Amino acid sequence: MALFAGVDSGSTSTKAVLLDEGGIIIGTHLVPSGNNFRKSAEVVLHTVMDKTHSKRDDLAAIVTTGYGRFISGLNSKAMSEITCCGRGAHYLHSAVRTVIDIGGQDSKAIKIDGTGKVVQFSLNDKCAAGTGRFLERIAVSLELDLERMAGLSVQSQQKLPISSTCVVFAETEVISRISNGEAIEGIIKGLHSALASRIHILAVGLNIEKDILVCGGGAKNAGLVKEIEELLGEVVLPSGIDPRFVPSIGAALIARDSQREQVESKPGESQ
Amino acid sequence: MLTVKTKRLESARTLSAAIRKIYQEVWTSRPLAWSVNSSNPLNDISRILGIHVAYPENYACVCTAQHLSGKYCTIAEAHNYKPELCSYIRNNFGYLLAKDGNHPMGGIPEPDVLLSVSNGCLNFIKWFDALRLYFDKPLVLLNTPHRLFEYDVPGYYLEYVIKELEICIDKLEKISGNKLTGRKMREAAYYSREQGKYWRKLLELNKTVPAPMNLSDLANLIFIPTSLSGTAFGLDLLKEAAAEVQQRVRNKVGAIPEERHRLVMFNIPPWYRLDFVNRFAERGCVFPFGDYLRYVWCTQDIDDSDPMEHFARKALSFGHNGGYGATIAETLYSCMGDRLAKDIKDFKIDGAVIAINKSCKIMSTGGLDIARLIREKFRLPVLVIDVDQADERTYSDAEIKQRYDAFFETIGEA
Repeated sequence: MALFAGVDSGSTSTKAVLLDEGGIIIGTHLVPSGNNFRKSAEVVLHTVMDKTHSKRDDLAAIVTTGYGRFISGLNSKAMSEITCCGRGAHYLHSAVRTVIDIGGQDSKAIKIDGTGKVVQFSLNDKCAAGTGRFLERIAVSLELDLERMAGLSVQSQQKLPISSTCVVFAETEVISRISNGEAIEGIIKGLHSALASRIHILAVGLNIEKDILVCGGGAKNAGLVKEIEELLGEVVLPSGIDPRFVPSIGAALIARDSQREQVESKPGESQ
Repeated sequence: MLTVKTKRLESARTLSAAIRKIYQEVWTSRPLAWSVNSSNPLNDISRILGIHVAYPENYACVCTAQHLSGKYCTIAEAHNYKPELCSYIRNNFGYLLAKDGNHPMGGIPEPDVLLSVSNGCLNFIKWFDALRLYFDKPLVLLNTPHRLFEYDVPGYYLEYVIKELEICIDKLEKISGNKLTGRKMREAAYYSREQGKYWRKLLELNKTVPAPMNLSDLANLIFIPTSLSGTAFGLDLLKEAAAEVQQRVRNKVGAIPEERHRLVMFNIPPWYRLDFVNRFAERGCVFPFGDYLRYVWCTQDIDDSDPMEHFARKALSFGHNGGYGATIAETLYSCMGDRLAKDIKDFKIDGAVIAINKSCKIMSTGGLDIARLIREKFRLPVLVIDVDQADERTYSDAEIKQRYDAFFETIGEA
């Protein structure tokens, strides 16, 4: 049975998704990217094959995506995360017309059509304040993990504004608020609100349509998702799968398409 | 590895040689002015009076193209020229403050006089005032009003600028020791107007499919009407370019091998990565036009029967001959939208690349509004990138490549 893999070499983690010919997800795996993208891509693919008891020979095509897509060392085709994200989101929820992907390195708003094809997209500028890195950095300062931060944010009745749009200055502002004895829950809610407002700017520039799917590591943060919903209205989250796998699902689907196209363009050889 | 390249114009090679010669000649030319080249008639007039002109702004582009912007900007910042300042200014002061003396084309010699104009870029005033203090040399500033709306030049603006020009001419005559003659003024105004005519002809020819020139050709050729304005030499160079481009059109020769998409570029291109056009050429994309080319005086015909009026109108035309940015939202969606619609139609544009360039606030203001306008009104794909015009340190190849690739995939060129 032919299998298709999508490997997403992201700045924080490397993800792999394995699809069968029918487009059914048969396995997923995630490892930290570390400082060796080639190695993490090999490990994640090897592990997902092992987990699903698949043979490497069955792997008909691989598509890589993410910042490490060109150095993954796999015999693969590289596609941008934006295209893969659109395709993956459509696969999971066909009514989606806008994807908000909040990754470690960047945040994206992607407008797609009814087939999952990207119509327009917008990314954060060079500043880290619009990305997952923003929260990771603050989490270290607060000595909290991201999950705990999300929980505190959702519970908070108070939102303390974080005015700075720079991650370093925001950190200073957070420390200053803590030293003034202000409630940590309110500070975190303010941080989530600041990040959501950056994402909102990306989205409104595209004149987005519903349904909106939020994915990437940011989608795992209930506090952030709640703040995004306050600005953009109701959003959907990937159902039954970790939201970080959306681009790798898209990559695997594109791998399947490219293999089909090859077969169709060479009918004699497919006999 | 880039394999597809823009087919460079032969006349661009002639121009490159001419520019090198100009930079050599300034070392033996006195008196020498440092000036700005944005529709600045003081350049045309100074040359008539025997004052040679060099352009630190243009030299900043030269240094940037040779990947020295990181060095020069760092030196300038170490001397408290803050990163928020235009990178042309930081390149210029970095060059002046660098200790090693190893500069592209040997550098530019110290000026005897500084010339500036207040018609567009606000930096031009403070930058040249700082140079005045640095060199302790006189600054001749042509003060002009800013034109923000789409109407003809009011008579009182014209009167004011003509009076200002007279004051500047008086100062320049004293510096040069020469008197301005009516005949030379008429000649300079004629060459200035004729250059405009040939520049417009070049743009007109680039409406052809396939486009005979790419943005990199136009970005080079713009040196002529901006920096050699009012000279017979400049006119000859433009005529040569126009003849070559005309020949390309006749023979259906495009700037790139296989033109499949025609894109418009907004904002000043990153001079350290002007080869970005080759990345697009690989995917069948040519840039027949850019809004940067609209900021020069010569996109409109300015009558030369009264030379003083010609030069005054030229100064008043900067950034107003059809520039899309630097306008308020109302203007953006009315007259600017119409003008943009015409360019999109005439140049057969099917996509846009919009640079957000923190060095040039004027050209970047309204950039995202333009993106929205193009997406919503013209239903064309738009790529927005963050690139500074002349500070290579701010360039992130991985980030830009991700945006390029996604854009190519969107237009079916994966």
